[in-house]
Amino acid sequence: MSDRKITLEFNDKVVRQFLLATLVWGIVGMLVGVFVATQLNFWQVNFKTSWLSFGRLRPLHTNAVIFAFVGNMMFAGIYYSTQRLVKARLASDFLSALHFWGWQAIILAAAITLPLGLTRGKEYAELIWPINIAVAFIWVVFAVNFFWTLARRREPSLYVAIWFYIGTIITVAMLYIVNHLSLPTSFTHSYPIFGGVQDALVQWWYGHNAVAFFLTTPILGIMYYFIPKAAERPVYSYRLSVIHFWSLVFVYIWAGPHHLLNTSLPGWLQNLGMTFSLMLWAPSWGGMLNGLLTLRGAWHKLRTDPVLKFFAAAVTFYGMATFEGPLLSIKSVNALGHYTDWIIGHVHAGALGWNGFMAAGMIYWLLPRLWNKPLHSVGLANVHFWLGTVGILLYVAAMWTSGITQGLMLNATTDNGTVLAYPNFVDTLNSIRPLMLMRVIGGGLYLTGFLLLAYNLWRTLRGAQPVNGTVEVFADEPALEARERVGVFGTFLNPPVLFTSLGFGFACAWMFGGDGISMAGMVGLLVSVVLAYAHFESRGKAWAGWYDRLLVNTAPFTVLTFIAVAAGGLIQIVPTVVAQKAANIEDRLQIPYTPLELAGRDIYVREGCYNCHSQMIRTLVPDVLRYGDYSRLGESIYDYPYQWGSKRTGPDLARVGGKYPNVWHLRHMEDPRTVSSGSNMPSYPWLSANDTDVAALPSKLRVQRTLGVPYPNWTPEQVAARVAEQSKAISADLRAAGAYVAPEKEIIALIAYLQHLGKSENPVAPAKTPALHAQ
Amino acid sequence: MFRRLVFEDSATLFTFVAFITAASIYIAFAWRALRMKRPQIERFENLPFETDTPASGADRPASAKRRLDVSANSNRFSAS
Repeated sequence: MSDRKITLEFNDKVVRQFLLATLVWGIVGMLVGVFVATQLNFWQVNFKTSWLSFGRLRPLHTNAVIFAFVGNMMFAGIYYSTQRLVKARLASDFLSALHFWGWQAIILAAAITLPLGLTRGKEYAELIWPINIAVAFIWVVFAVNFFWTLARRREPSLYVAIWFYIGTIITVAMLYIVNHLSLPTSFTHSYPIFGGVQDALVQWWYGHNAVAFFLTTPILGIMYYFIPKAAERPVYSYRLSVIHFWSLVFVYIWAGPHHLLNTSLPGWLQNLGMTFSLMLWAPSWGGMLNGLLTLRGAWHKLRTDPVLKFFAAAVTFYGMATFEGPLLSIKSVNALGHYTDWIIGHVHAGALGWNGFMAAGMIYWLLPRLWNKPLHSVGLANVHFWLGTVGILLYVAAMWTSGITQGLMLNATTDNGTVLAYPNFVDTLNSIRPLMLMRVIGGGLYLTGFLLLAYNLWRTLRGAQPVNGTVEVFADEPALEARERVGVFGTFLNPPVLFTSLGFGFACAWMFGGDGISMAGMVGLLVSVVLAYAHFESRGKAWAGWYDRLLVNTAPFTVLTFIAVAAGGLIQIVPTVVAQKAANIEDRLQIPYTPLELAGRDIYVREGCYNCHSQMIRTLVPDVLRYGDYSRLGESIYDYPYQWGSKRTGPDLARVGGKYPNVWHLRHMEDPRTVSSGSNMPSYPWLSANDTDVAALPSKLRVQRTLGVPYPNWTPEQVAARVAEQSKAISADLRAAGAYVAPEKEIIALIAYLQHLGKSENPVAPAKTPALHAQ
Repeated sequence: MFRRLVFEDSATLFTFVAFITAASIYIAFAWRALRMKRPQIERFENLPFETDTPASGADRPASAKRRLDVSANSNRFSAS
């Protein structure tokens, strides 16, 4: 290798682009957030307009904040830090530009389609299938650009931030692809390939890990780079960062089922989800302390440096949110907090405090470096910090109080637990109205802080010249020495991987096998552990040497990280998909929807009703007293997508079918307050004006049949005839009750769907358990 | 297949296995991290500082600079 040095110029243009996009989309996402929060207080703000209704805008808010705000911030931070950590310019300017513009086009498409009601009906996975394909494509572009850059790196060692980025890229790809597997029925509509309980599990495996691997791991990587840089001192403990990374990657992926506690999800999955969630306390707090203690000796700088203020507060909020998450994953705590505003407070402590403040700190730190000009006003940045902090505290405190209040009221009983203390759901809603208003104020303050940042940025950029960072490197790229390479065989054929695989296989046999296999698995696992220990004792250097080489070999490191995250998902999803299907149901089995009811269900999904109404009566006494017998997993087995929901701003609807006459539903949808005084639900006048899309039904039914729903092979004429017959009957019933709506209107289909909810058949009597036999 | 999952009440088994799995990972990587040599750690933890990231002209924002100038002037004044 020659000693000639060259100056390498980084591609900071794409960093600047992502940075500006972060701010623009962040403000849009927060503005929509404040708007939808206002709608919860004042139903009139829905303006009786379909594309402004809460159910359609709430997904716009969540998608904008997660994928647009944090997404752009993440890409800016990753591209800036990676180039410097590996001493290489991004591999391709074209791929960088494609990544940026492709991602913005996706966000724009989401901002248009979601208010139009084009949705898949799954939280944080609402975007329609053509956009899903675009997301997957652009993510691959990002991955290629990133790994190509690593392949051209001039620094052989991979700093821990790069590990977190690698974990993010491969895990998000896996989660996104699996949860978005769908069969299209048209260019704008599809059904997910998983239904009912399977869909619920896959959705929260994705939903929880979207938080873990989109909102957490990349930001942790950013934390490990930017906090040491801002504090001008190395990370507190590199050892701790190593433990932090591996334990998060291994453990996080298992925790998804904690979003489905006390539901009809099989108990073993709930137990796994709860226990692994509690295990997350350790690595999360290890990471949080590592971030905070990096500021050791630099605490005095917090008085004057807004960057460090934002970073210190962000890491503190990370600690708060990751303490609260496992707490809420304890079944008995979850029984109180789930479906209430407590969860909203929890996620906003993370989103506003952790993600938002990390973004703000990073932007303030990067501005003078990317535009070669000092920040316009440090005073404004400090005002931003305090506005944001007070905003978050108001928001979070309001939501905690609101959630606990509503949870206590909904669960309260009298007469020795046999009668609900607050039988009218709206009473619980009205009791938290002041807190919902406080949320608007808190969110408004937070938004104002970011508007100040935008002003500060604009004033800083005025007349400034963009500048790209440089580094001096040797002209020849250093090649890994032969003894440092791992290779394909070395990746898998080494003691740690072989013994882990062996133990893992035996553990699965023990857990999931029948009597004989289970016993063999247990014995095999014990033998594997003993053999592994014996080998480690005698050949410990081989284990350590392999690990050290792994850290400078990107491909094997990536492959093994992928296997680590995939294992947790496979162990939960494969048994559920194989065992929990309609053919194996011995309890209540859902009656498939008629074509009109299916059309009504798609309207329910389109309007985002799942944002406020659950369809899952939990195995809890207050739930059963309020809504009826607890939900069985067979009762939603044909639901594509599942609609169990995650929030009850309104009551559960799992057994609403037959509870009210058709005319009640009509009045309720036209103006909820006529039948439910004090309700904050929007009015849906367009449902009585728009016609049901009957022409789309044959294609939808064909896809449902492919997915396993037992529909006959109806012709389009037969479908139309069935729709006409049922809709005319409902229309006639409404006329008899003194209200007339033409049979072809959407409200008729929606009423048909709502009246079906809770209808099931029981083809086989429930098998008696051995315990009952014995009695 | 999956008989245990469908028919058996295995609450304790799964929480136990979850604990063992997570604990094994913590112990394995804590052991690995604790065995890292000091020079190796110093090499890793200083990687962010190997590439300079200078802020333009001055690290401090303009308003902070103004404040510092004022402060410096006042010090000069009091010293004199």
